[in-house]
Amino acid sequence: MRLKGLLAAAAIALVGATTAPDVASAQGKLKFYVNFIGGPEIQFFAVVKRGVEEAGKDLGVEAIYSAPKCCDINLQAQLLKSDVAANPNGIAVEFNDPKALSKPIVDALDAKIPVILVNTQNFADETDPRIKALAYVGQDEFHSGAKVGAGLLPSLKKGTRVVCQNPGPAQIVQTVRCDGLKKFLEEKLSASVDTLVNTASTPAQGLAVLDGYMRSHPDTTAIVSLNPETGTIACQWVEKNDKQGKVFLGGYDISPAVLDCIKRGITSFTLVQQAYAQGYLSVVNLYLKSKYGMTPSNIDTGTLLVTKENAAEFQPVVDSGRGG
Amino acid sequence: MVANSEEIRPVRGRGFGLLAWLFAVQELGVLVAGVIIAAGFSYLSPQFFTEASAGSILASAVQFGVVGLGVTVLMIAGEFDISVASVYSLCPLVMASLWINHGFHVIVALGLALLLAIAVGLANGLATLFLGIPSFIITLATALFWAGVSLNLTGGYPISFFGKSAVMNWLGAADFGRSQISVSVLWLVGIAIILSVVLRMTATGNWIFASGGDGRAARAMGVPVGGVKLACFMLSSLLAAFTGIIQFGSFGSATPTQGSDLALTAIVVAVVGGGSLLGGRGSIIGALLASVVLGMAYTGLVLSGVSTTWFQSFVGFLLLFAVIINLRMASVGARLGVIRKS
Amino acid sequence: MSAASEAARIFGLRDVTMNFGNVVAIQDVVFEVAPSEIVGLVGDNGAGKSTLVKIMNGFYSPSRGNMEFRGERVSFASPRDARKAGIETVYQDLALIPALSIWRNFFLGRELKVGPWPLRFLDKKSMRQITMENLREMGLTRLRSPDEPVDILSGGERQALAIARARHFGGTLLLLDEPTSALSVKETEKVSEAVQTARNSGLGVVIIDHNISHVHRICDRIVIMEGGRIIKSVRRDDVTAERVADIVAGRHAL
Repeated sequence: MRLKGLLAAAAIALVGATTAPDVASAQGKLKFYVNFIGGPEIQFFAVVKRGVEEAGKDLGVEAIYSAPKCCDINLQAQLLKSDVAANPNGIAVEFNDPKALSKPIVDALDAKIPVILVNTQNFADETDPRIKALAYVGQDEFHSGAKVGAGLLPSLKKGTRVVCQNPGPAQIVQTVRCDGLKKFLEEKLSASVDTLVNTASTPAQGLAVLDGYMRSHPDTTAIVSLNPETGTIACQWVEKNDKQGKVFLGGYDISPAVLDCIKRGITSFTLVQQAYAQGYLSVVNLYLKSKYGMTPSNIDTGTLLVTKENAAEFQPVVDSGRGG
Repeated sequence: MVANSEEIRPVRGRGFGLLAWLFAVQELGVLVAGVIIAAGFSYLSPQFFTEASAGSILASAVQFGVVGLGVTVLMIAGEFDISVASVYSLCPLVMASLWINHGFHVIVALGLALLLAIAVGLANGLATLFLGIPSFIITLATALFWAGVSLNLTGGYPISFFGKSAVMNWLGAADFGRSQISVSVLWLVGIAIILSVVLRMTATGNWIFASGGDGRAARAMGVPVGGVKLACFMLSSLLAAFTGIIQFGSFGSATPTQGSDLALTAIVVAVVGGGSLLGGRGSIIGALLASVVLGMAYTGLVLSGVSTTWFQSFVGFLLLFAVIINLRMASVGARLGVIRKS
Repeated sequence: MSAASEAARIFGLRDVTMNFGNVVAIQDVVFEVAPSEIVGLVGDNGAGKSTLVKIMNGFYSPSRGNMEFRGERVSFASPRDARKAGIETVYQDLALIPALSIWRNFFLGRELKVGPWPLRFLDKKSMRQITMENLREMGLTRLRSPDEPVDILSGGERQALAIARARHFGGTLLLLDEPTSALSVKETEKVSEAVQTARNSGLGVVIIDHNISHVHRICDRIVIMEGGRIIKSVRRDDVTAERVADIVAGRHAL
């Protein structure tokens, strides 16, 4: 008897967990997958996911955010394989690894599934030419390092030391950003730019990592943080050690905490690549392609430096949970 | 169960035929779960029974399965290995580094990476046996240690291989003919067959079960329990490394941050397949099925449009479901007087 | 003193003494077992029975005195040594693996194999058959299959299985330490039957048991210990169970 009940519960739970979205999707609804390397446990990805899902609602299509727990490239590649197997009307891929993700993308193209790249463009020369030709929605990362460097330029002296906090070296884009920054600042200021890998999973650990670096390199006058988590840590460090005006902060992406640091003048600026727009616009791009046959467009979402002057404009975006 | 139980055991009646046979299947829980999941997902998604979907399911099954099989054998011998997740990322990284960055021949690099895995397993085993500390703790410690080594080996950066290599093809880069099913499936099946034969048909297998069932009693009967456990530690570490190397072969990139959840997933594979956390029980066929079921769940969730953020919840549910079915069916089977061939 | 003649003796202790530091556990013990003889070892707690058995099975080396086995002077470095020589001990915890099947337990550590190396696989057919034959001879006729796990067996059946295993693997002397302590009357009967089967196939058997009426029923000779010495060795037919109990309890003159 109890066994029977259990089996029934199992069936209900299995089916229940899976039918809800399926019932919502009437036959013939367009279906898109947006494939990333991390889920809502990372704030940036949570905002992308929201953009994807709200675009789906607004356009009346099924838009699915598909990602493993951050950040396992093999799991992302396996998921992408599944996404391709679902034979959807289009796929957007965060192109974190030009090697691991190429094969599933080529499989998709062979199966006539439209593919675009999102958040991370192609960085490798060896990549399949068909992938190199794909449209890209996201920040232009080849130039983002220079943009951030330019933001810091007025505050820095010649020959100074700058550290680039890299929270996820498995994501190729992070390396590209630090490299771009290094190249720019070396050229303009002959500054020395170090990369600090800071993959700590809690703020306390992250702060300890940064603190250790700053104590052993006291000549550092700027910290560039590649995501809001490390950006918040840098802000806390400056405040704790009373380094306002001595150590300048710049970074990527926005969160309520980073916006607050900017408003209080501790952080100089952050380059906003608009995670929400990346998710939303990639669905729009794929939608236009499958509905009207339009070629997907390149969209640069990262054009704005948020500073103390324009921070107020950004407040509503961040408050609504759409700043990333 | 206790010394002087006098209950009457009914002799198996006729007419139970198929039903009785079903209860005698040790892997019933995972089989039932597999059938329900396959039925559920094929109802929810017309793509579930396609070749592309099979390719995706099997790719996941290989990842969960090869490492899961090693952990299953170790758990039958009564020990745990939490360090499999770290070995899984460390060894392919070592292979990629030796081969791509240091110019070693690919086979030499592969061999050295596997040797490293065996050494890690040996160290886990020796520490467990001689320090008398539970293997769960020992391997938790070594897991953290080796994870740190991986991160420092490349500073956290991945190593990728572009180009063509027969070795990489055999490891999983190639598909069968023009299908979308990776040849890495052969490794999973081959390893499962070998381990299954060793466990069920050789004296070594008998000793592994005995060592985990009751180590003291096994020692009293002359079984070299320490040696058996050492070998199992080395096997689990070796297969964890090989899983990582298959992933490297299949996808071409080795990253130090991969596989953080793999240790627990491997234990789930062993337990869902009919294994016991207390040792002395377990099934290779069951673990193989469990890895396919996990693969079906992973791919099935994607195909039916559910966010994969539900995957973990699903695994938790599956674990409970399979364990309850296994226990229930065993007792129902015992009441019906069914005998499992051993 | 002994019922076993010099020629027929398979095992003998000569003036054996065992000290643990200053404590004398066994003193000047002379003890013999003949083939096809069941010897019951009785006495109060602390009388030295278990120590004596542990000397016989190689767990302890005696402080003084000689040990003879099958006409030769021997000394065992470990229980493993003793077992190799043919002295099998059935421990209280039996050395059985509950989750393993009966036949796998029966042959544990001594599996039969067929086929050329490296394809030396278990000879399951023979092992199943031999296991069933042995258990049937022990009176376990209720068993349906050697594939059943040991944990479905009753306590008495497990004892019988352990005894059958010891007998099958060339044991000459069988040592049983409290084989029936946790068993019901019916289960005790199963053990008795197994012990007698072992005796009838030529083994010498030594049983430690608190249940004097049980010892009296199945043993050929009863040896009573007190304070590390043997105070009485008597043929079963020459004494009643009541009298043995009285001696053990110290209520009766020798």
